[in-house]
Amino acid sequence: MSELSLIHIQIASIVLFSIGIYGVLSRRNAVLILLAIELMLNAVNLNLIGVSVFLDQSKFLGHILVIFIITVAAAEVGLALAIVLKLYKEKRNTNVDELDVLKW
Amino acid sequence: MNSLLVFYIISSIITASAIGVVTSRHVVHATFYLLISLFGVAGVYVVLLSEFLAIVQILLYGGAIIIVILFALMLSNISDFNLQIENKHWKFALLGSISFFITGTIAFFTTGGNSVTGIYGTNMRNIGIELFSYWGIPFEVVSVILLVALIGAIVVSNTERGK
Repeated sequence: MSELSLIHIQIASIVLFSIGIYGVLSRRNAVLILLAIELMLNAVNLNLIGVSVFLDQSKFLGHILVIFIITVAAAEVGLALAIVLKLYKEKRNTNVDELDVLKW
Repeated sequence: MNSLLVFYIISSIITASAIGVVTSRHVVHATFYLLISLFGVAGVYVVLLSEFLAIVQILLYGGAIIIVILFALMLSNISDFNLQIENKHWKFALLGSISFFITGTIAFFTTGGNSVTGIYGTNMRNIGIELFSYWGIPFEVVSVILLVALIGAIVVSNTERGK
């Protein structure tokens, strides 16, 4: 295996996604959970680009999907940070274990 | 052979800085580790001959998302964000993450991805033609999503309303 192949990209992608899962599950701060979600989105993008480059040489489907994913990720970060800042202003707290106002 | 070496270097940088994101005790440090990791992913895109997406990655993630996160942190009191950063159930999180990693690795190796080699690069022209002809309507829908997210962020963060 002396040449760059699809499995290298897939392994790098799954390593990144697993680290993201660990970050989402183990952190308590909302901003840090957001950062870990960004890591997972990047892992998905990496996997899509790898599959598109190695297997789908005519349609660029992976590239188009990655452009859409990046756009939606930008929108998501803007909205989520607005919500986190609002919560911080109202409650002086961004610990997701204690944010249960929508629970009841 | 050379591209494999470059890929190993870049992916080790990505992995190290991603571990820094999820283990750093300071929020701003975690954000800068995320920036390094995103630049590394852009480097992998360059290795895969998808330079347009590398440019988009650096512009949007490095130039927009990291800046937005840093602005949000600077507008609030950062020392509040650093309190109680760790969960006491981090062992279960590690278990879930490792089990996902093992499952995915087995799945990828059994589907035979290691026999696929040969990179076929693409260019901006073909991506643009495809994006604006076949994917025209999803492109418009995504622009509406961006507009709605912008208005939603303004409405959520407007504190003067309703008083």
